[in-house]
Amino acid sequence: MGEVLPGPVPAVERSRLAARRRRDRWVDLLLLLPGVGFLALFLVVPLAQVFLRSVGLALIGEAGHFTWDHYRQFWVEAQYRDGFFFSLWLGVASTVISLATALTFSALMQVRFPGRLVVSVLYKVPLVVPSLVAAFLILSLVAPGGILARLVAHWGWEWPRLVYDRWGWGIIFVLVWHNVPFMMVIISAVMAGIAQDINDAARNLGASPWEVFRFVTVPLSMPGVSAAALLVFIQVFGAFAVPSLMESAYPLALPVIMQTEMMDRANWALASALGSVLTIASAIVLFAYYRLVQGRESPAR
Amino acid sequence: MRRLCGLCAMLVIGLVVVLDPSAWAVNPVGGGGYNVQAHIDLRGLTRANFDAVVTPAAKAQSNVVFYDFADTLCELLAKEVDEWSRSTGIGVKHVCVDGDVATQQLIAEKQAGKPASADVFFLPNNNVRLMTGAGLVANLPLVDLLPNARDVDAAVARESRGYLHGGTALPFHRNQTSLAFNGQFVPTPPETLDALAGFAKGHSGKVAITTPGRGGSGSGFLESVLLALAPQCRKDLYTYGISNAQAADIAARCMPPVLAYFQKIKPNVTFTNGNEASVQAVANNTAYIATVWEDDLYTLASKGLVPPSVHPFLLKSGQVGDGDGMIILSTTSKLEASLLLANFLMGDKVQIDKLEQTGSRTARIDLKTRGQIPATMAPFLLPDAMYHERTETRINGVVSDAAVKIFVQQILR
Repeated sequence: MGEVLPGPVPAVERSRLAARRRRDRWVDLLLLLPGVGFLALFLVVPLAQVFLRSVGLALIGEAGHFTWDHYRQFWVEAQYRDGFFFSLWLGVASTVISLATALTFSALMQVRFPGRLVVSVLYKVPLVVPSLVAAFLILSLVAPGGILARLVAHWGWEWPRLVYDRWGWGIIFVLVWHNVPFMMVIISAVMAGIAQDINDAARNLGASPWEVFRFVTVPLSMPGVSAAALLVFIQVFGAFAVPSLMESAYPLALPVIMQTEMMDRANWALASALGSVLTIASAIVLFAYYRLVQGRESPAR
Repeated sequence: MRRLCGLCAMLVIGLVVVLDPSAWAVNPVGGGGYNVQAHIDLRGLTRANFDAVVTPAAKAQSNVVFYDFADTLCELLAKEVDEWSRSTGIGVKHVCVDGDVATQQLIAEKQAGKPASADVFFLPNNNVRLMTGAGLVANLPLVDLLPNARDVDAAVARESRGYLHGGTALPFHRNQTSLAFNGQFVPTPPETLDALAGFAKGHSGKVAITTPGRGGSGSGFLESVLLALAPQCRKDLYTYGISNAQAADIAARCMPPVLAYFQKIKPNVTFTNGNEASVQAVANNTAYIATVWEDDLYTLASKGLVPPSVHPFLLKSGQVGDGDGMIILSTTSKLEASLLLANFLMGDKVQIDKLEQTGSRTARIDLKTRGQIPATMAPFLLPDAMYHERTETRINGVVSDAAVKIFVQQILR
């Protein structure tokens, strides 16, 4: 029995189909409009404006001309370059320390122990404390002239410099304090999804608890680990409030320099160039992350 | 004979009128016509007839919007303006704004062809140039018109940080960079830069200097050291209208003795990351001497955050002071009410209240402030004699920025 082929579509039917396709296209566009419009209005337009300002165009209150000078200035003048590397250092150090801490505690939180529920609530407390408040808390506690410094002064001891230091350890401490619970929420959720059978199998095959953590738990948690690390890094890399309060006189974090250039010196073009550099660097990290994730996912498929 | 006497009398009256500046009508700053819409004849307006001419027209206006950028003065000015509004019947909306954001907003409104959101703007002095360039400043020489501006210090009447505006920006607020010492640890504060270096050496880490990159008390101190140690550069430091490259040349030529001084004291001083950190350092005994803004110190002291043993002082070689101005927007449709408000703000009451409550100095040299400050607060202000003897005008901002860059590179880095 041969298959019955559909006959030629009548002209009326064809035009009706074409009209429906056109209408569907408009409906698609209308449905996309809120999302795309939002992105265009609140992301693309501001970013484009920042970039145009950074190259000397679209400046407010003065005639502009195209120039790469502000990017050159960023690279040639040490304070801007050092500011970039200081922000990078804060991002990397905070992320690494937060990650190590969050991984350890997330793994521990998979173990059942008395009071686990209380601990699981308590560790989330820093999530509801704004980082600026955390910075004030730390400052009033450990800054020169803070509570602890005054306390040890009674015995004639000199309190060590834990904030306003060149390497930004005070800043890193606050950022780690704030970001560890954030990372733990993500990583714990991923770890909780790992089947207990896999861990049991590894133990049955003679792996020690450390080996199970190292060779089973961590690799299987990598999607959560990498996402948490990426989010924390990008957030810390562009952090303004905590560095502004707790950094030393030099180097200054790049967002702090941006603010000074913009608000104190009305140098919007340079501030925009510095902002563009921060954005591009974050985009590169994001791109590297997706490449990394893709690379890991491909063999598994 | 009678005719001759009459002629003489007319001549004398004429001479008096001509010689009394308050009787002169003023011309638009920069020549040409006035760039602001008025309901009175501006060409006939003088300091002498100001109240008589302006008040009737002003009383017919309302909803004047007053932008105020100074967070330390915001609360006080809101109260003063409210009282004035109730007594005159002229409605005023007092808005506390961020100075730079408001400047950008007003310029953007102008560029978009929209009426400006404000009529009067108390703005950062750095922005007077930008606002004038955007055509937003009414070209009225306010210092020559307002009765309450008759005794404004000539040194600050017509320029803002090197920008010659011709009197369109009223010097409403003056402030002074200074050093503060804690009398508990420093019985006699050092009077010279050498003595300061000696003190720092004897009390390592107890002198706090604000980084010039992030605080006016630091860049002010750098300018003061520059003026003291490079006197041959004084003329260049006060030369305005120069390019960034010229400013960089001047800074490079004048900074070596300054850098040598800071290299010498660097091991013994602490650089802080802002004005507040320096005030805090001297307030909590972390430092015995610190660079501060006089009004910052005063404001914190008025809230009980500074011990009574802390006092400001100026070095013998002088330290620079600054200030911020007030303009009337060229786009205002309530010029007369704005003029009346600006005159009120330059009046005795507001000028004394702001000194008493926030340490904000006045630019009016004849205003009697002695005895107006409570005895408990007076020690947090510089003694008048010291202030008048040792205050210096800030140098050209572009040169200052260039000097800060060199400082950051050579000293802080």
